[in-house]
Amino acid sequence: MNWVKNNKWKITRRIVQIGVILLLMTPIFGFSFFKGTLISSEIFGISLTDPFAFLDYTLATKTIYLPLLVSAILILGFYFLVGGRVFCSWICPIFILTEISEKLHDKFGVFNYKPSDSQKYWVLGVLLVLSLVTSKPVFEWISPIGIISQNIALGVDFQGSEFGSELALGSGEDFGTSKEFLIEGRNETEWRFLFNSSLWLIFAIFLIDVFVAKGWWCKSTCPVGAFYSIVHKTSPTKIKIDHEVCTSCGDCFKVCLVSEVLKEPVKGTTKWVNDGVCTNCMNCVDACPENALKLGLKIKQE
Amino acid sequence: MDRRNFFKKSFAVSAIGCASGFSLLNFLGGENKIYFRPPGALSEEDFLAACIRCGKCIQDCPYDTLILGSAKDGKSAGTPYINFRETPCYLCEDIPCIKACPTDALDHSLTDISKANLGTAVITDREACLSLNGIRCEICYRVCPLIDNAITLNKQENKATGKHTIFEPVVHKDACTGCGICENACPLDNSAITVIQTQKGDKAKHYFYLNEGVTS
Repeated sequence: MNWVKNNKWKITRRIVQIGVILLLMTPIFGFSFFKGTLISSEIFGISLTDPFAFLDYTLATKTIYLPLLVSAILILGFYFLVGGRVFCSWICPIFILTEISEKLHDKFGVFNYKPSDSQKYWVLGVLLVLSLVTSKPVFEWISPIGIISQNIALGVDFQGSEFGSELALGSGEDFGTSKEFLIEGRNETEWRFLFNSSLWLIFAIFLIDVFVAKGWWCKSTCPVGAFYSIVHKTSPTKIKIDHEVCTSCGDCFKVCLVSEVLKEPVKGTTKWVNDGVCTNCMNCVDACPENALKLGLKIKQE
Repeated sequence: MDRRNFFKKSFAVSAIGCASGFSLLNFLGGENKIYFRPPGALSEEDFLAACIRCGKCIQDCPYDTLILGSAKDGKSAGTPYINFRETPCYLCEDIPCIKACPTDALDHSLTDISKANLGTAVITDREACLSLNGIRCEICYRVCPLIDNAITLNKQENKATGKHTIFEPVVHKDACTGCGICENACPLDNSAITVIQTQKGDKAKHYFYLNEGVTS
């Protein structure tokens, strides 16, 4: 019972994380109240869109599409209220992989590369400029968040095993060697699916997280995370520290993915975890033996 | 650097290299083929700009016609496309794919599905076509949801036998939606009728001259 009490936020967060995956899968089981992916979805008829996807769309097409704007504002408003990077730690399935890779990095990490704090903002900027220049929503094209949620919502991507189109293109009979040609074509496409899946991108990110840098993708590369960091900075929902109870034991640092955000508050210069990189994952709140850390509403500047 | 460490590092680097290599080759390479998009899709360039790869149209397609582009589809990764030979578009009257689209990649002003323009069916293999060989096939004509509008039968004398009729299927570009039901139904191993991408409303001048008696 004590364990549950000490981990109540973590348990809640795990339930939400698994719940999101199950929610994405509901159309497969025949429910109809929800559909879509983390890029854009619809729940009880209300359309919701990732505000970063809206930015990408707007820059790529150079037009503002009003229904898309409304659906993006709904999501933006929600994350403004609960804290921007709540998306990362509570919703995004990639974060689950990051949490696993964090543990594995301690065991198997061979490099200890530390990307700079500003890297993700550079990535964000470069991708938005690329969207503008190439007239394609560049990040939505390669987005690991999109790929993983598509693979959850639509079933795992084995598109390469589909051989209809390839066979239809090369007409075997015309060459008079129909049988050999068909068999060859079929074999080729059947093993090729292993290399065709978009999931390789997710796997590459996972390996970099494990071997090279702790939390490389979520912490310092993902442009959606960077976008939500900016939202988080302005959000009123933040972690609050009670300096009178804090003993500076450092337990919170051990459980925090982005432990640099705790430096200033624990030192005593500020009462709030102001850094936008904080994901409100509540690990520190669970870990604090003195209950000095709490979730609070920062309404006026203190 | 000791040997153990060296092996560990080279393993890590090669594993990452393989995984990122596969994905990069796929995403940047891509197949050089024409992708047939859902009803109401903008022109290919505009469609690729406006589609945010959310996958909702694919989820809402009741016939599983729409296929999710995977990494091997290059710049079409994550976008919906149709393989008519696998499953054609059955032209739902309420057009759920367009309703599902959160952007204007699928044109929301298209409400009459018979005005959809996925492409145009064309008899691409006249030598293989059974009907053109004098056999009473005409499957493409029978299955066409716009029968007698999009596909009609043109009767001609069968010179090979001298006493039979050839029922030639003729596709009319204005009416054809490019749904691909004919391509899907063609009984040949390689469909003799295929959907190709065309622009509507650009009939050649000689067509008016010959068929409508006017010059435009």
